[in-house]
Amino acid sequence: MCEANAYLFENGREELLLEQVDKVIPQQGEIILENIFGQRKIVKAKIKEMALVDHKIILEKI
Amino acid sequence: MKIAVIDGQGGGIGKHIVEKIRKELPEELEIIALGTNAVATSQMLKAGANEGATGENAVVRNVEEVDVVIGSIAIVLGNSMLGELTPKMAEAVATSRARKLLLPVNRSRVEVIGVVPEPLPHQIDALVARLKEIYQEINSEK
Repeated sequence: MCEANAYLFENGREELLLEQVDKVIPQQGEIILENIFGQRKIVKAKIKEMALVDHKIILEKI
Repeated sequence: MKIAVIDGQGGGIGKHIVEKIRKELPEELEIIALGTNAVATSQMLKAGANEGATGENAVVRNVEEVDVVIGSIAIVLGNSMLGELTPKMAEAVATSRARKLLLPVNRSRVEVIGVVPEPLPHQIDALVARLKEIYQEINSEK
């Protein structure tokens, strides 16, 4: 599908964190990700890159 | 015309579907929100469904009483939605005489080959466009 997938950039690699992300909410040093199924993930990270044509959100741990 | 929208978990997809139907189709269209849990039912009611019911028996009973059943493809996959969608519910939807309009999104590792990947809002637009056609067909038969 064409919602974005969120990846965590660690040790030079991108690990898939959550598929079909609908919402990205930054909140007090954390990022809340929610996908179209209502699945949520909270990570202590910052946005490294958003490549929307490629449907990718890349996060980096802080 | 009477339609049932089925969703589970957070009810997000069902909510978007109900909202879009309410914007695009006449008010006389009756929408029954069938949630696999109370949160999903409540979300769909807030979005504009006429009435709502929750749980296995509600789904099994009501899919026989409507003209169209709407939801993601997960509603015909037993044990999907983290197990909220029971095999009985899936069977009831699959064997119902109602037409089924299903979105090809699920978390059950089921891929529908031949479907062009589209963002969820575009898929919902296409679903509502098809529902409009069915609505016109049914009304012209009366």
